[in-house]
Amino acid sequence: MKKNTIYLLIFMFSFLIIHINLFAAEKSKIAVVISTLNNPWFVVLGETAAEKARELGYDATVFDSQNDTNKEAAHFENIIAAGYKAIIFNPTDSDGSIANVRLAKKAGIPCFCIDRGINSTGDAVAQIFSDNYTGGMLMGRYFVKQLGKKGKYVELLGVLSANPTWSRSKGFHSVVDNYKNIKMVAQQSAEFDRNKALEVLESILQGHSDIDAVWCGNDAMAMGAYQALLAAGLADKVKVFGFDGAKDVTDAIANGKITATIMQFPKTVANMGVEKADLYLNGKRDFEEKIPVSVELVTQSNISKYTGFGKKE
Amino acid sequence: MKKILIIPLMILLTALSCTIERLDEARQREAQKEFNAADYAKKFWDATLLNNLHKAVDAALLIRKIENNPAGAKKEYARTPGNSSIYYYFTGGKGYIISIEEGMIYIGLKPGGDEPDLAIVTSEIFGNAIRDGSGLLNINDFDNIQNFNDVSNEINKIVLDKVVPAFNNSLRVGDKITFTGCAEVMDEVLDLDPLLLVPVNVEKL
Repeated sequence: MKKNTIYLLIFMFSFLIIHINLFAAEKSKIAVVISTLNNPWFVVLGETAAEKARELGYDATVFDSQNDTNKEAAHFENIIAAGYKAIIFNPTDSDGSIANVRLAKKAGIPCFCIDRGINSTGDAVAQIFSDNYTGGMLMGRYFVKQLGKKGKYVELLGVLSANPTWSRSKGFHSVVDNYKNIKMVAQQSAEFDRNKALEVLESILQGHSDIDAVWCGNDAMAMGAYQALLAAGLADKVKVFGFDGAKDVTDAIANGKITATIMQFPKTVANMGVEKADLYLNGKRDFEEKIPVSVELVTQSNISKYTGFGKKE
Repeated sequence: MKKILIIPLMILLTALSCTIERLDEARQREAQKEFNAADYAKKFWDATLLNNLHKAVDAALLIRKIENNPAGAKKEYARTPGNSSIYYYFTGGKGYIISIEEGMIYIGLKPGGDEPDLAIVTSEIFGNAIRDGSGLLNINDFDNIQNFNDVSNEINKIVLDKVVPAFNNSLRVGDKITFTGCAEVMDEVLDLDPLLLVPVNVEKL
């Protein structure tokens, strides 16, 4: 009898453990695939998305593509094999990443692009991105005023295969190119990277030390450009303009080192992506696919309203 | 001796065979092989926009509503793309020219007034007022967001190159006009008083 009771207890305990494991396994998994985590802005984007997914009851894992489309493709293969239910996706390449989204779609896994879109319609369920073109245009207007409609400048572009690079640049040029006395003396990619921006601008300054401004497609490059100007003794003469609203740049604007940036809202973008994934997994299907999110001009005159990656609470 | 001559000659020939081009222009040229934003904008203007001017909300009604209840006017008549704080109005009506300044023509909706109800912008036209304000172009019809943005830039060029020159030098203070245009509201303090219209059509009556 005693022996039977022990067997019964063991059976019941085992049943309980198996049941708990089954229950745990039923928790859906969401993958957050980020183009690079070597940039604080994208770290905020990825972490916010993962936190939001956990808050909504999912297991969330962040994958770093390290700006490499091949690594990104490998992540997608693993995500599909591991049975994730949805992918919150920050693509490395607007064209090159389409195949990954299609692969996931074929496997029945919906993708929700955040911050960067892909050049296709009908593959991702939703694409939520900062209105980079308007941001470039806003910066262009301010840039023209700051330069008094005349001067020479350098443009540092981001990753050439990424949509935001060109949306920002084109928005900027849609304004600045209308002013004949403002001349761009060099335009080069520094791949959204602070160290590359430092190197690229150092090299450009050897032939163009008479510039009045540097327009950078993101804040990491703006900080690199500022370092190069500081080393060349030109930091007080040359105005630096960025894009993102990263903490080091909002601090630098407050200290008068950087002239302006465009504030994107990575937390808004990430949260919207995850909320839409949650709605999808709960049965909603009619989504507006391409959703631009507002950006705002941050200058020394309104910096008191802002902090890194958003507005002050 | 021969080698000494051949090497500089080869360098010269290589240099002459290369052309230097701006990165953005090279990329735009490649993109335009598939999509011509200028052609698209022209077709949109002629075939869609000009045939839908009747969809513009009456300016007198809109201005009255903005003055009395700006939030209600926004809710009823504005267009907001995506999750944006920027919004747009598509409006038209008849009015009288109160003053003409560099880049701006000020309009009163009633005769004899000296406070402008709105202004028509005639230079430095940037942004997406007509693309997003008319409600006649949809971002989801464009696979590539760059094409959508390029169309906006080309629409602004049509305004500056064709629409504005057609009326700008012929109008005088006191003239009665009919107008249609789109307004982009980024800052409610600066952009609503008066409402700044990017013109689609302006004619002297």
